[in-house]
Amino acid sequence: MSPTTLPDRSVEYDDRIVKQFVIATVIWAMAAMTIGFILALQLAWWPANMGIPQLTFGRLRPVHTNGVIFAFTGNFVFGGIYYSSQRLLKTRMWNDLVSQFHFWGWQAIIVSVVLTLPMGMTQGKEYAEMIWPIDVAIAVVFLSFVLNFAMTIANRRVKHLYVALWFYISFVITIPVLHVVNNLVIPANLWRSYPIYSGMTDALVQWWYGHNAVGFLLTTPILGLMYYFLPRAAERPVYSYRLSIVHFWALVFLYIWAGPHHLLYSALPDWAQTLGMVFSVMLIAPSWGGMLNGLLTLRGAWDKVRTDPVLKFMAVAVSFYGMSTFEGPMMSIRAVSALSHYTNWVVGHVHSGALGWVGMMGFGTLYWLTPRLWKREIYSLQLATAHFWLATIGVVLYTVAMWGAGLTEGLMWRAVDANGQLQYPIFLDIVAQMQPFYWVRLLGGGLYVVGVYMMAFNLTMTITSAPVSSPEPSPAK
Amino acid sequence: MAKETNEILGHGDEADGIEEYDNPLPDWWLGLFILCIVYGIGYTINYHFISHDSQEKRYLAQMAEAEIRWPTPEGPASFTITDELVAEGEGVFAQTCASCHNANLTGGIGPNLIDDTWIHGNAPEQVLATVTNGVSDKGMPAWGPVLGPKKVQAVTAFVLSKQGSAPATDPTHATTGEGQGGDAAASGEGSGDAAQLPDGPTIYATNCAACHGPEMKGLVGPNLTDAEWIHGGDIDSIKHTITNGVPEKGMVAWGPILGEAQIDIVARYVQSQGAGLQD
Repeated sequence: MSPTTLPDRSVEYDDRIVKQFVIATVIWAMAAMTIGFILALQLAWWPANMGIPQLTFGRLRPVHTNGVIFAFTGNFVFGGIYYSSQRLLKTRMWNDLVSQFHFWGWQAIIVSVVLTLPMGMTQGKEYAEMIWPIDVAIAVVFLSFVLNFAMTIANRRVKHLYVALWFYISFVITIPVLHVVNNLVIPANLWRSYPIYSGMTDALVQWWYGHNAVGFLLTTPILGLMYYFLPRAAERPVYSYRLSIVHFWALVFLYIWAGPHHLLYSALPDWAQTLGMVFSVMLIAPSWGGMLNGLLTLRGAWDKVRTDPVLKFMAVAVSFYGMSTFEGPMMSIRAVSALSHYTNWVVGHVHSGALGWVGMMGFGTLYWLTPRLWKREIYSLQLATAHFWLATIGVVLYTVAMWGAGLTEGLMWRAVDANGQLQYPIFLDIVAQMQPFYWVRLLGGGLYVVGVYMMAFNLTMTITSAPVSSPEPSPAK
Repeated sequence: MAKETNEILGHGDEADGIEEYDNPLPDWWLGLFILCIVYGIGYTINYHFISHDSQEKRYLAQMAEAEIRWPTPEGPASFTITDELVAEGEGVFAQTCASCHNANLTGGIGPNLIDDTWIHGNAPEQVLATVTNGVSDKGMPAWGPVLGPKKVQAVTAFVLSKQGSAPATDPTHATTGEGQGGDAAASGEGSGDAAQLPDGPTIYATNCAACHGPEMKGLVGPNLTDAEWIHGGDIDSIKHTITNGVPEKGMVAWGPILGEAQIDIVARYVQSQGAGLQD
C-alpha cells in the first residue's frame, strides 16, 4: 500500500466536538445498557420494579431502546462522522457553533426523553415514543447537523468522495425524512397528540420508519464508520472498491421497501406483505457485501487481530452483522415469521445486531479514537481485551437464550393436542417457561454491561494519564 | 470467472490514506445476489398470479383441513352425559375451574355449583353456554375458545352430574331442605311465606360468602364485621346496597336474584354480625 498521507497542516480539524461526542457515547452507553439490565432482571424476577410506576417495564423499556439507539449509537455515529469526514474531506467542519448546537441540543433531547417517558408521556409508537415537542427539537437539531455536514462536503478539498461518505450521506438524508413523516401529528396539548394517519396506514408508516431507523441509523452510518476505521486500524487497503459501490446502492435501494415485513399476517394487503418479504430476502447479498469487504480487508492483518482489541472488536462486529443480516431476511419469510413473530426470538435478533454489530463497532472505534484524540497511550490493553471477551460471551449467551425462549414459546403457542385443541391454552403457563431463558439472558447482558463499565474506566484512565509526544500512538503496541 | 488482482486504485490520498483494491465482485456473492432476486420475483409471481394465494385463503384452507381432522361436534344440546365424559370433565374442572369454584365445587371467587341456586340456569344448554361464553361482568372468562367444544362439554357434564350433591358439611344444604327451586329468581319472587325461606346464615353462605368470606371478614368484597359501613350501616342502606349492588366495585345487584324477602333476611343477618354504630 502507499504510505499514509500526512494530514494537511493548513487545516486544523475540530477535534473538540469529536471528544465531546466520544465522552457522551461512553456515558449514555453505561446508562442505557444499565437500564437494559434492570429490564432483563424485571422479566426474570418481577419484584425488581420495586412497585414504582415510573420503573415498571412498560415505562422503562422505551428509555432503554431509545437510549441505546439515539443516545449511545447516535453520539457514537456523530462522533465518528465528525472525526472521519473532516479528514476524508480535508476540511474543518463548516461551522463550529452549529457543531456545538448539534451536540448540546442532542444531549438536551436525550435528557428530556429520559424525563418524559417514565412519566408515561408517550406517543406509543415503537422507537418514536417521544412526545411531539421533543420530535420538533429532534428535527431542528438534526437538520442543523444536515446543514453543517452538507456545507462541509461543499467546502471539501478533495474531488473523490470515499465510500464511507456515501454511507454517511444516506444516513443524513434518510433520517430526517423518516422522522418527520412518521411523527406528523396534530397536537392536543403540550404532552399529547394524534397521528394524522389512522389504523393500518399508521402501522405501515410506523414500520417504514421503524425498519429504516434500523437500516439508516444502525446500519448505513455504522458501515460508513467501518469503511473508515477498520482499514485505518488494520492499515490494509479495502478489499474491493467495486463491491462497495454495488452493495451500497443495492442496500439503500432495497432497504427502504422492507418495512412491511413487520406486518406479516396483519390487515395489511397481501401484495404489500409480499413486497416487504421479498425485498428483505433480496437484502441478504447487499448486506453481506459489507461484511465481506470488512472481513476480506482484514486479510493479511489477522496477526494484528490476534493482539489488537480494536481489530478484535471490529472483526466480531462484522461477523455479527453478517449473522443478523441473514437471520433478519429469514424471519421475514411468511412461514418463518408465523413462528417467530411476537416471540423473544425477535428480541434476540435485535440484540445480536445492536450488541454484536453496533456495540462492538462502537467499542472498537472508541478504543482506537480515544488515544489519538487525547494523544495518550491506552491505559490497559489487557483490560480492553478482557472487555472484548466479556462482550463476545455476553452476546452469544444473550442470543442463544432468546433463540431458545422464542422457539419454545412460538411452538407452545401453536401446539394442538390430538383433539385439535390448543395444547397450552393458559397463556401464563407458557410465560412461566420463559423464566430460565430470562435468567441466562440476564447473565449474558450482565457480562456485556460489566464490559462497558470496564471500558469507561479504561478510557477515563487513558484520558487522565500523561500525554505522549507521538502524534498518533498506536493502541496495538 | 472474476479474478482478484489486488490492484490499488490510487484514491488513497483523497481518502485519508485509505487505499482500495479494484477487486471484482466475488462470484459466489454475485450468484447469491442474483439467486435472491430471482427467488423474490418467482415467489411474487407464484404467490399472486399463479396460485392466487392470500392470507385469507391460507386461513380458510387451514380451517378446512382442521375440520376434516377434528370435525366440529354436533349441536351443544345434543351431547349425552356419559360416565366417560364426566370422568374427563372432572380432570378439566380440577385444572381450569377449581381455582375459582373450589375443588369440591362449593365456590370461592366464583359461586357454589352444587347448591340449588343456578344464577344462569341449570339446563344443559344453559350451563354449556355459561362455560363457553363466560359472564364477563362477573369475571367468569369465556372458556369456549380456550378449552374447545369437547372439553367444555365434558366439564359441563361433570358439573351437572354434581348437581345437588352438596356435601353434608355444607351449611347450605344442612339447613335449606328442598324448598328452594332451581331458579333462584323465581323462588325469591314467588314465595311470600317467610317460613319457607332459608335463614340468614344460609342465604349468606350460598350467595355472599364467595366474595365476603365465610366469616364475613372480607375477601374480594369488604369485611362486614368491622365498624365501617361504606354504603351505610342502617337496615335500609344495607338492603339498598344488596338490592342494587355496587357495579363499579363488582358487587352484584342481588335484587332480581334473591328477591325482596330473602334480601330482608340476609340484610338483618349481616347487620347483626357487624360491629359499631347501627341505627
